[in-house]
Amino acid sequence: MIDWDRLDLIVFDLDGTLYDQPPVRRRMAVMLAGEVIRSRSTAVPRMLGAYRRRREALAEAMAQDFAREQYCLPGCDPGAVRAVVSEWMEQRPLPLLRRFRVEGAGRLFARLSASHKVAVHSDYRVEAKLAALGLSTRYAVAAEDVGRLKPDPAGLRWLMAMAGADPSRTLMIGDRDDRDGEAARRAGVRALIRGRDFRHYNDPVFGHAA
Amino acid sequence: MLPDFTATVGALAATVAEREQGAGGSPQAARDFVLASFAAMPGYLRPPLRAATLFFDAWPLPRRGRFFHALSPAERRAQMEAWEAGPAHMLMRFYVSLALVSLWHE
Repeated sequence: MIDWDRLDLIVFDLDGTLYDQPPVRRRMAVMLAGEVIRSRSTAVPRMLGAYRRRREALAEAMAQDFAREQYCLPGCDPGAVRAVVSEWMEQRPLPLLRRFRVEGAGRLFARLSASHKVAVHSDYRVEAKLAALGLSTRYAVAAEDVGRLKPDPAGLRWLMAMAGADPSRTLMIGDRDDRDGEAARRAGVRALIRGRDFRHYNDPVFGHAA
Repeated sequence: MLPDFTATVGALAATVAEREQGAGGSPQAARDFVLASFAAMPGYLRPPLRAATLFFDAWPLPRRGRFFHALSPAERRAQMEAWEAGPAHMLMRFYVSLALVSLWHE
């Protein structure tokens, strides 16, 4: 049971928390397959796969200069990796997101924004995806802003400092316990995990929010 | 025995997963993801792709007496790599690409 009146700051993760990732990923896979057939090369999906594995490894290793290191893949120009990531992981998914926004997210954001400080904390860039979802928030932080990936609590602490919120009056809402939940634990913040604690934002756990 | 679309996709996905990740691959997850991606494709693309997939499942029958999906893992890999270098390269790239995305870490 969440006592929403005792919370000042609600922090949402983005991917998988505010929209359903599997259907977006399947459609992106089909688009990538078209690109592979057109270009006669599997270089793009291979590069994106290597990039994702690199980020997972950096998150585990607590890399100091992750913003630069994430694009350093064996045999690849970091600029080229950055361009491919921007196109395929940041730009091309945008038109798909609104369709797969989690049920009740818009109404919950509106309700919470009237009575709480609402923030978004993602390992990827936030603004364009949030706009594509038809959502807005006063506070947002991406891993590149703080130089650390979740479960490092740097982003969460940055948001609490910006919002002037105490950990005991902050709630993290995410979809991965090993990332969002662990970041919350390290920051002394309570967490709700999608798939474990709730499925969508019309769930009873949000019934008394705002 | 007849050509089997689901089994063929599963065999292709498993072959890619094993080639890319070795014994630690996730052939079941790759198969499920590729089938789900296929189901998410525009309706007009699915029938020709399904027909082409069934055609290639039957391809080894005259020489080996078995469908592609019934070949051993080593035979599947050799056959798939022959297709990748030959006239079936577009269909193979399609399936390889989907299988590669399935291997991305969540």
